[in-house]
Order: sequence, then structure tokens, then C-alpha cells
Amino acid sequence: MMGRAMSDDEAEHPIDQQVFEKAAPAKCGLLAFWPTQSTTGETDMNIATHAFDALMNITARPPVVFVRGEGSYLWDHQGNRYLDFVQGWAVNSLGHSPPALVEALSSQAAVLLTPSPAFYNDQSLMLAKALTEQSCFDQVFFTNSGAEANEGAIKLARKYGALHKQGAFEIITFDGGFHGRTLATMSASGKPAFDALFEPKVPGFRRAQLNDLESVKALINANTIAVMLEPIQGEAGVWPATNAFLRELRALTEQHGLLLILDEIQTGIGRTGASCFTTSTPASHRTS
Amino acid sequence: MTLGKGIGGGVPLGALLATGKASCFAHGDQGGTFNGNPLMCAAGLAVLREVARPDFLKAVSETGLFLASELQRVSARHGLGSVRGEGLLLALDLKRPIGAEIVTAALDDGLLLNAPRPDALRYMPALNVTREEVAAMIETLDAILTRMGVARCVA
Repeated sequence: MMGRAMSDDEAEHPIDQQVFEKAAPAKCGLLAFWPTQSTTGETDMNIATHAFDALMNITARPPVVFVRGEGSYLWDHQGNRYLDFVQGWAVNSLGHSPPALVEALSSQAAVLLTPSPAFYNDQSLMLAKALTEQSCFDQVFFTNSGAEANEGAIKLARKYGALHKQGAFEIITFDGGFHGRTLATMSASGKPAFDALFEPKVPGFRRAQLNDLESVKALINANTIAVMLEPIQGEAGVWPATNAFLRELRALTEQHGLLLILDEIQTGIGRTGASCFTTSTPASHRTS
Repeated sequence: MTLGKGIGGGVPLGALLATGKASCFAHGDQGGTFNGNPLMCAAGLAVLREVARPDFLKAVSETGLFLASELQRVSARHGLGSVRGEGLLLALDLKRPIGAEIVTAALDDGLLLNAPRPDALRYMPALNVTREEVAAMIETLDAILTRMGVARCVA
């Protein structure tokens, strides 16, 4: 089971214990404290007989434990070095532990961690100002993950529908789309592996096909409030929406008074060579 | 528009951005204990400052073009498919379900790759990845494909 391809949807493969023992011998300080067998002989009450077992087995991970990163490289618990072209799925935009980030986190940690979300803090005000100045948007709500940002976008669209469009709540999303792992964002995603999971899903999502405007038009009705998509579908295997499709979609949503929700979680912040993917396209695409 | 992943540079931060007209939450509609905490926002500011440096985005585009052209060269050598994507979000179409095997072999060779689908490799390196690092990745990938005898399997 070493190093098989990991995708977001692979949760069904248990860790191969023999491979684990070979790769993580008892001499490894990180794992040495963990008994390989329950000292009481009772195994039924506690399945966590390995260090790995105490984590819920939600995906197939190779039996390598990473302990350090720098730039494009990671080191495991045995001192092996790896050249990293995954970077936490496009998370580490500046590589592993970049000095600028280390300095910012260290300085801020020494000054203020959390006053309360009920109070203003200087860093969030500065970041919101920077984001609105560098984009066509006016206001920001910060979250702890992309999924939570999309969940917020779905809620905002439903609120907008309640206020301005007689309670319209349906959001058109796309086959192959991936918007996160909360119940609503899984419901919004067009990932076939999600279809049978955690039923019943959150209602109100209808799926069109990427780069097919007619498939979007066919789903618009009085209940529709928004269209939501990734400019490049990442999890589906990097499938870009064409500029023409994005332009036509913008015109279509304006014509019908719909919100357009761009999920730039994988494409934003310079990933495509523009500050956000959509600013490099000819038309202006806004959540408006 | 929603942001996540790269905006935190490795720490958990996301953002929902909207126009004034669409920003219609009333008090009590939305919130969260850690949302907008100064520690993660300080990280976001540091990332934005780096990305805003002169020529940073130009370098992303140029490295992306270099990575794409190198992938195309490997693809031609081994009879694989096209390269799609933009900047430093790219995929190599493998044209057959060998993604998992390549990822496994790469891990053994000290290279971390991702196959979101059995027939595709997805590339999401650091935005400041160097040409030397791209070349090292290509060299390892080329050796793996040669070892697997991929080119011989072309129909």
C-alpha cells in the first residue's frame, strides 16, 4: 500500500500493518512509546494499538511520517528527503515553512491570538482591506477553510434569494465540481463518489455541464438564485472553463438576476499566474 | 468569490468575498469562533505581500510554461497525452490508468506527486518552485516511465 495515488475520495483502504511495521520500526522515537499490543491483552475496547490507529482512518496514507519541510522539500521521520510537487494540494503557495510566513506567525503569536470574533482585530481589518483593494469585491468574511467559505457563499446566496427574489434558493453547480466536505458543499459538488454518501443531501443544487451554456439555461427557473463553479475544476483532474463560457455565464446570470459564485480556492492567490484566475479573463466575473 | 488553500500559505484560512449588493448577512446569520482570528490573518497578509512582489506572478507564469513544456516533452517521449491547466495548476493526461503506479514509484524515489484520477497527474508545486526543482522532478518522472516501460505499451 506504499504511496498509492491519493485523491480526496480514497477513504476505503486500510493501512497495511506489515508495511507500517517495516517502515516505522520501534527505534523511531516518534512512535516508540506506542505499544504494538495492548498491555492488558484486551483488544476489543481500544483499536488504537498502533500510533496510526488513533487517527480515524479516513484516507489511504503511505506509511511515512513527515517531520520537517523547507521550500519544495519534505523530510520524513527517518531523514529521507522528498521533492514535493503536491504541497498540501496547492496549499503551500510559498513552499514549506517560508521565512516570511514563519516570521508573521511568530510575531503575531507573541502579540495576540484571538480577542473574540465579537471584536475587531487589526490583522483581519488589514487583510480584508488588502483583498478588497486587489479585487472587484467590497466585503470579506473570513473562514477556517475553503469548504467553510463555500458554505458561507451558499448561505449568502440563500439569504439574497430570501431578501430579493421571493425566497429563491436553488444553486446551479457542475458535474465534476468540488466545493468541499461539509454536508452542503458535498451536496453542491458534482463528484460521483459523493452521490451515495450521507443521504439525504442538502436540497437545492442542480448540476449542469462545464462549458455547456445550454445545460445551465435549461436548469434556470423561478427558484434559481445563483450559479457556482470553479474556473478550473481541480479535483476532477484540472479541467478549465473556457473564457468564452465564463463570459457567457456572466451575461446569463446578469440577465436573470442571479449571483455568480466563483470558487477560486485552488486557482486563486497567484496559482494561475494572476492574482485570481478570473482577473486574467476578459470579462469581469463577480459575485454581484 | 471564495478563497482558501493558498491564501494561508499552509495554515487554515479561507475567505468569502462579495460585492456590497450581495453582502446581505444580518447580525446573527453568520459567524464562527475562530473566523478572522489575527494569527491566521497575519499569515494571509504575509502571503499577499510575497505574491505582490514585483515579477512574482510573472515568474509563476514563466515557471508554469516551463513545467508544461517539460511535461509535454516527457509525454511525447513516452506516448502519453496532453498537458492542461494554467500557471502552476497543471495536469498531464496519462491516457491509461497508471497514475497510482507512478505515484507509488515516485514516493519510493523521493518525489511526491498526485493522481486525482487514475489517468492523470496533477501538479500544484510551490509558486516559487525553481527551474532546477522542475528539472529534478522531470528527470525522476522520466526514469519511472522508462522503468515501467510505458512507451512500449502504446497501442
